[in-house]
Amino acid sequence: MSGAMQDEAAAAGPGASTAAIQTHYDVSNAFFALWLDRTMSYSCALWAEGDDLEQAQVRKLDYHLEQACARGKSNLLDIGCGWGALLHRAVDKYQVAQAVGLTLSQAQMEWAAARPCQGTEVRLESWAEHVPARPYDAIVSVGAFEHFAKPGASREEKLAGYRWFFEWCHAHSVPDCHLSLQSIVYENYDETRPNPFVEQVFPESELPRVAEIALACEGLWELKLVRNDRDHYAKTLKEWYRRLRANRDRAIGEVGAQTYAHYEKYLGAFVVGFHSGSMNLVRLSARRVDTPCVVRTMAKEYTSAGVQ
Amino acid sequence: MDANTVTPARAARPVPRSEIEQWLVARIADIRGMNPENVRPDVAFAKYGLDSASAVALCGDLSDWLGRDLDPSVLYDFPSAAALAEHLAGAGEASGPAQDRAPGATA
Repeated sequence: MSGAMQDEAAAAGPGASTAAIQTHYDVSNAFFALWLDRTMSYSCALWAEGDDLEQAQVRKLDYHLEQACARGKSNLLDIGCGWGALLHRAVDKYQVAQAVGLTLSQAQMEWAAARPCQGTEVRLESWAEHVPARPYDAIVSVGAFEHFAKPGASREEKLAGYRWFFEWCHAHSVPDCHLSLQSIVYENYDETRPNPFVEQVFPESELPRVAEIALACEGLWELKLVRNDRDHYAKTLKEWYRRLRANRDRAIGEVGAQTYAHYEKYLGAFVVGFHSGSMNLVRLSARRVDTPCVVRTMAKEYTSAGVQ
Repeated sequence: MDANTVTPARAARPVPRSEIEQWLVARIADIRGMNPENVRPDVAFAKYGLDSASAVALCGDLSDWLGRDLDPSVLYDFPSAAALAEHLAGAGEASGPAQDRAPGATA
């Protein structure tokens, strides 16, 4: 990793600051509980015929645990663990001995701390500042990659930050570690004309493109499977939108009319974004390249390789 | 007018197409500070400056007024007062979403 990059990003990593993350996620746990499912999963579900929201969210947790080959593993890392549902699932159903979750949300960490679970640990820190007790043998990151670049970053800067992330995962994992990642990505969208409303909803956060993720992990992580599931996110968001509106009075009582209206508008607008295809939802899994033959790092190499 | 001050019609009866269209035209006129007579129901919401976020807010108000859940993507699929009113009144169900007339709305 380059010294300049490190200085610029300080300890927090290449993307959104802790304060920016908390603007969105620390509104109120009780508020989120009104419209999320019982597992408090706040990311795109994986729907099958006949599923309700909770079943589709658990299906998503299982998908990532299976893609990360988590069953029976000794030490799993969940980067951006939210309220901790995947950690619990890993320990309860996949016989994972130790599951560590990282979040930048104080409210999420407090929620997890109030529900202690043998074998799980939630830490209030970014991956960039996390010093693992021992390397991980399975890594999952669901709905965090959206926050790994700042708006206005050049493509080179974005790639450098993403590369840093994959290098970090590589450096802190054991041979044959598998990684499962889920992120919103730009699809049919002109990111040179950013939507100011989206910046209000998720401050300091710039979405990746699928190709940028693939390029950033090249040589370090071997892609196993990439799937785009925007229909699944449109359906998930419709359900959240419906549940939020159905609980309007309680939600307003919890966070006030202005914040309520902001979240209703954002959920509705994101339904349209996924429905129309301006955004997509990628689920990507990869296997660690244990002895990389070419170690490419950071922005300079990308630029000299002709990536503009 | 915001979500808290909307008076729901809570219509047990089906709301006729013309009534929905009038409601939409009145709301667009209100949002844009225009005379409702100058809002054409067959012109796309986007032409009246409704971006995706304001379209979603309009969808929420319409849902309250009709007293039924509406999918926020409905204004994208039926992007004018006339098209949406026809769809919601039932006449447009068979014709499917008007994808080709979609506004350039992005999330």
